[in-house]
Amino acid sequence: MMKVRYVGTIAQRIGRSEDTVSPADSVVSGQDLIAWLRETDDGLNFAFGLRKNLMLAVDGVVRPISSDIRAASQVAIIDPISGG
Amino acid sequence: MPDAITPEERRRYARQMMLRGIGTEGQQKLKSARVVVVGAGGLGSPVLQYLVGAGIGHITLIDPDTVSESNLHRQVIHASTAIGQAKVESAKTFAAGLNRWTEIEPIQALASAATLRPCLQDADLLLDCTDNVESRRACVAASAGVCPLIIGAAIAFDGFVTVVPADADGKAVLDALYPGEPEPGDTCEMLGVLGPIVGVIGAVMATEAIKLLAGFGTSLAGRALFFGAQNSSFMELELLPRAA
Repeated sequence: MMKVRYVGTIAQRIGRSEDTVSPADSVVSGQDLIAWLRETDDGLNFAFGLRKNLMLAVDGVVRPISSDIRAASQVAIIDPISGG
Repeated sequence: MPDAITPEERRRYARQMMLRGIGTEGQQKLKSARVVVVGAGGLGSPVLQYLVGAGIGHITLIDPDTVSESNLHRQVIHASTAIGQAKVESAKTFAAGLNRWTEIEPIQALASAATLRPCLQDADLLLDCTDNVESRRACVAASAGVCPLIIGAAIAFDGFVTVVPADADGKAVLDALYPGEPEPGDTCEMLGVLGPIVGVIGAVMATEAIKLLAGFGTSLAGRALFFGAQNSSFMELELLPRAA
């Protein structure tokens, strides 16, 4: 099982900030995970569809979105926060 | 040589001077400090509240905007009667009412590297309380090799804080936090913001500032601390990891 945390507008748009999931075996990278999440949830499909540049953190470390996430216990998908 | 602390100041700051890491020496450092704050809005409000309250000696405050009614739910240093005034002037009025030992130098201007460089010549610290990536890049460029930078950002229910030491690769930090080009419309005006979120993030920024200036604790350099209000949780992320 993998905990996925959503930060920024993704969380705002879907009304929750985390899910616990068991990704399909085909999910390797952060990009794969986002694509898989979009297939599983209409709200996530909508929210992710509005954003192009997302930030990924794997077990507490910021990594490129293309990073391998198969061994992760927690992944954070962050819509960059620029307001203030 | 830091300025001496007067008996009146000693009474005023007694509850923070009793803390290990501050004391008389730390309070003198705060009194002697020269800090630049960019942005007198959502994040700038709590930052100013706590830095002025803590007795920072001199704050240069930079912001181009005027106070509007829709600012007031979160930009809590500005009074209803200040609507239409320059934010830097309204903030100066607030600071004067809170602590006469803090000198505020208001500059009503947009932050750019050119605007910031002269302000940073004798600065000990820069705080980025802006609301857009372009201004953040200006803060990074101007502070590189000059002074530490504290970056804060908030929108909707979320925000984060990080610290960029003067000798760190600030551009790489920003590239980690903002991969790709900024999305259009990523502002509080377009996406909304819960008032206390800027309070939480701004209070962490002020905490980091006091630590850096007084010289105690471990800063958020190399890390970003996120806070999400929807499940009331903090999340610490390591930035710029070594190659795997």
